[in-house]
Amino acid sequence: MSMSSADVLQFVASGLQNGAIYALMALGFTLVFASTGIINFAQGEFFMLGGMLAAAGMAAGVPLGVSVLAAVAATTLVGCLVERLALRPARSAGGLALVIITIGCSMLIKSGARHLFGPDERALPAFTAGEPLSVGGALIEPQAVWVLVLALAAAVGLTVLYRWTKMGLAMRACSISHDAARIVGVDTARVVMLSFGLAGALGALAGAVVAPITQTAYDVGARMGLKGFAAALLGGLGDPVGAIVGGFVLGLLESGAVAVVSGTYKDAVALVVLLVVLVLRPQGILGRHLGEKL
Amino acid sequence: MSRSGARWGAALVVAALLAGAVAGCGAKEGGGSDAGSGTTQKEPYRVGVVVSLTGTYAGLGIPEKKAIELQRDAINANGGVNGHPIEVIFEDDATDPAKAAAAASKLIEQDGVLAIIGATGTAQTMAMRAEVQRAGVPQVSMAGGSVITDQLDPLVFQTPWPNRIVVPFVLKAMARKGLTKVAVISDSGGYGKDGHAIIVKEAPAAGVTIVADETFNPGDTDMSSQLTKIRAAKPDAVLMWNAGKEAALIAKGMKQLGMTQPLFGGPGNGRKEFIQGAGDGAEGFRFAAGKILVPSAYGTDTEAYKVATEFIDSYTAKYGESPDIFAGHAYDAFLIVVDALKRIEGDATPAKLRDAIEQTKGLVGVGGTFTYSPQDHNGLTESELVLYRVENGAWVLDEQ
Amino acid sequence: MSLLRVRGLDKRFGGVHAVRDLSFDVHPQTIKALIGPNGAGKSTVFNLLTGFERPDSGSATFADAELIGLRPHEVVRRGVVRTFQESRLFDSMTVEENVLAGMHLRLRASMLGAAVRAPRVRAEEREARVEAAHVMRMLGIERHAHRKAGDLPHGLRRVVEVARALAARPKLLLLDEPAAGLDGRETEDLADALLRIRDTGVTLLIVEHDMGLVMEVSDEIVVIDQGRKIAEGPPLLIQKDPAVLEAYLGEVGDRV
Repeated sequence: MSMSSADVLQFVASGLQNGAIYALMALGFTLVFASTGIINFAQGEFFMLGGMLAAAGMAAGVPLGVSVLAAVAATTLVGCLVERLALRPARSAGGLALVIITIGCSMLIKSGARHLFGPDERALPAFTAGEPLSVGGALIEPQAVWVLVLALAAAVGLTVLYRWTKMGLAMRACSISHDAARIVGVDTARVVMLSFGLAGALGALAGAVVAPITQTAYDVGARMGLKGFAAALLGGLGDPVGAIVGGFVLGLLESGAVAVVSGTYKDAVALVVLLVVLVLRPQGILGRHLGEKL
Repeated sequence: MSRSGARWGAALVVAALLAGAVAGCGAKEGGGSDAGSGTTQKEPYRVGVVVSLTGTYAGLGIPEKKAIELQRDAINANGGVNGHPIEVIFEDDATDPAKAAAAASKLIEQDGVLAIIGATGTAQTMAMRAEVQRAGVPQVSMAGGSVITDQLDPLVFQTPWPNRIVVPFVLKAMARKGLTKVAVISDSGGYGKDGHAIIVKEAPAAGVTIVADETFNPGDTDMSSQLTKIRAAKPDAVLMWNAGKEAALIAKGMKQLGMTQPLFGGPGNGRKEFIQGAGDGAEGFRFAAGKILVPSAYGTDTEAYKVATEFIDSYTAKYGESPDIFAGHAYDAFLIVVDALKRIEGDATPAKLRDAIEQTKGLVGVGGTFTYSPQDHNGLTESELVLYRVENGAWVLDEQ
Repeated sequence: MSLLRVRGLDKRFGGVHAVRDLSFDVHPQTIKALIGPNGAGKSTVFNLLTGFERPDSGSATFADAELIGLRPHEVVRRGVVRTFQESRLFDSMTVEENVLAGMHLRLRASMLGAAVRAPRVRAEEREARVEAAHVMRMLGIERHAHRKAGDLPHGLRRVVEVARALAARPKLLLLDEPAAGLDGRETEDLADALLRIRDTGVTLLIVEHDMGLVMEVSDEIVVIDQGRKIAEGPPLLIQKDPAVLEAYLGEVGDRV
């Protein structure tokens, strides 16, 4: 079997599409890690909620755009609530206990979704109808363009927030030292809650924008959480630029693994990445140092 | 999951992640035993059912549970079996072989069931085998993997048409249509692997050449890389073998990649969710399955037609939707157990029940007419199968 | 009339009675030193005043408003800024950036301001740099402006922390052992800087072990031992107070 350049481009397109989703998920992990030093294992459920709430909105007759926005908003709120109701009261218990609490939250959200929405997969219509676009012979469906554009828009928006706003400055201050941030007047509790809210928004956006391509169900969170975590680790936890790079690298690696080896090993890519990064380069591929967390 | 990585100590992190997210579906349906409204005084007959109510096969397991509940209520309302009401205990295996084994163990040890119906999937069915062997409890599976009855176990029976019957049927249909260069895409789960092995083995005999052979994992959400490889191989047709929700992504993905080759599949794809999920991509999809989807295929004057339409009518009346082939497999499994219980003399025991099931003869169900023997625990033939095509979002018989 | 009025402050940690019924006043534009032997509860008093710990009872009135019950960032916004004994700098930032960070949160009003009023924000940024340079000059650290805070020696980190605190334009500055780790020359410079800070209208409350520094800069001293106030008054009187001498005997007596 010989591969044409169009086929190679098709692999790249597929890798970028998945990579964009992983990047959004990785950003969610990394934001929470930066402001708290913990891994939020409920991140995958934020992804699931985005898709499922949007699908539920559609099923209730709400227009698509409104459903997606409402799903993102509602998940932002869920993110804030996870922090406010589950994590903040246990703040003094320390890192490991907090991580375990996020695992509990993920179970709760997942079973809640199962009871609320049922076990079936749900489909969401494409944001815009239309035939696939041909780019150098590779066919790219309009929804994949939505995925890329929205992921990039979210990344740019986040960069602006992080670099040039007071809230971003406060978030960066918290990522270096909570006490230092406090004594320059940062409301660290609010920053932590907002970072969970943002993580919720990013996860939900990823879940809603990809649902027209992949379908969604109450149990899609775990797999995506794993991928996003691997991408965040690859990029260096706590580093937003690294998270985006890590997401795209993971997407392309997976696509390459299917092209060269077999689809059976696609999921193994993320696991191998996790293990290799943990063992060899805990600071991620960009090699930046973690803040003095944990 | 990667075998190479499993040895690493750092895999603990991964395990924690998976445990965290997967454990959420542990919402057991179990314990919900209900003897129905029988007024009999006799001890109820206890039957365990292991189905996938969550996970990849949830779309199969849920109609299976509904069909069994329907039949249980109908039988108990009519005085039960030989005066015994039937008590059914459901367990959810979450499409996880380990949970299926645990569920079987629980049904045997705690509930003392006479027989176990299940599981929904092939790998889950196989995982229960050690448990039923240990206790000598008969098992009637609703999964279509050939391995279930190829590796004959005196205790294990099967209601769907196994891959060894369906695969050659589909391959021959493809060859008849002149589609001899075939690309295969199958899942790496039990049913897909089982089917894949038989496709590879049977293709030469059917006159079919496999030009691309791709796999994916249950739960995968993106097939475009696999399909790109298939597109590059320029096949006449694509044959997919799986039973989960991923099928819709394959049909949709082909359309998005501009692939116009006809798509074929097996009974695992005879689901409404497939048509809904794949949308336009489902149009023209052909698959082999039993006759329940278009009952006129039985021949309107047959006993099978009468049995099937009665089941379809009562199921539709209760649940507001028509049963699919998986509901049919569950109906048949329950029917086989009930029929065998009726033939038992004296106190019912798992051993007596096993013998009675093996003596099932000419029993007309919706998937076919079942005749078991010590050598054959499936009892179905190719004549129970028809080829369907999706047209305007519905199933029609494909003229051959 | 006092700027900070502490009354009946009390705090227990399990079996340890860290602060007992402590009352004292800090008068505007003065330097007050809080001294006592190790473990006397000085840092705890700072934590109680700045919202890092809650007292079991007592009050702390700052410019007629209650500080107790506020969270740390709210205390900062009232104009009460502290440093830590173990310095808490933004290690990955330069000294100048650290000082700017102390200022930034007071400068820009809204989250979206940067996008909408870019020219004004730039002007603000310029002013901030000028002010940061001024603060660094006042504390004699301007030549380290572009070094990473994480690379600085211990003593210098202290001073940077003072600079960052000062950049927030506090009304009351709480310094926890600002001279620890400084050599003799640097300590003298710090003493001068503290007096200049006071003369710009800032009130200071310092915890300090270096008695030379304390005696040189303090207008008033409060001495605590085992969480309890044992003396309060001007430096000359405190030096002769028998209770103080006794409390310090055998510990840092040579410094008194």
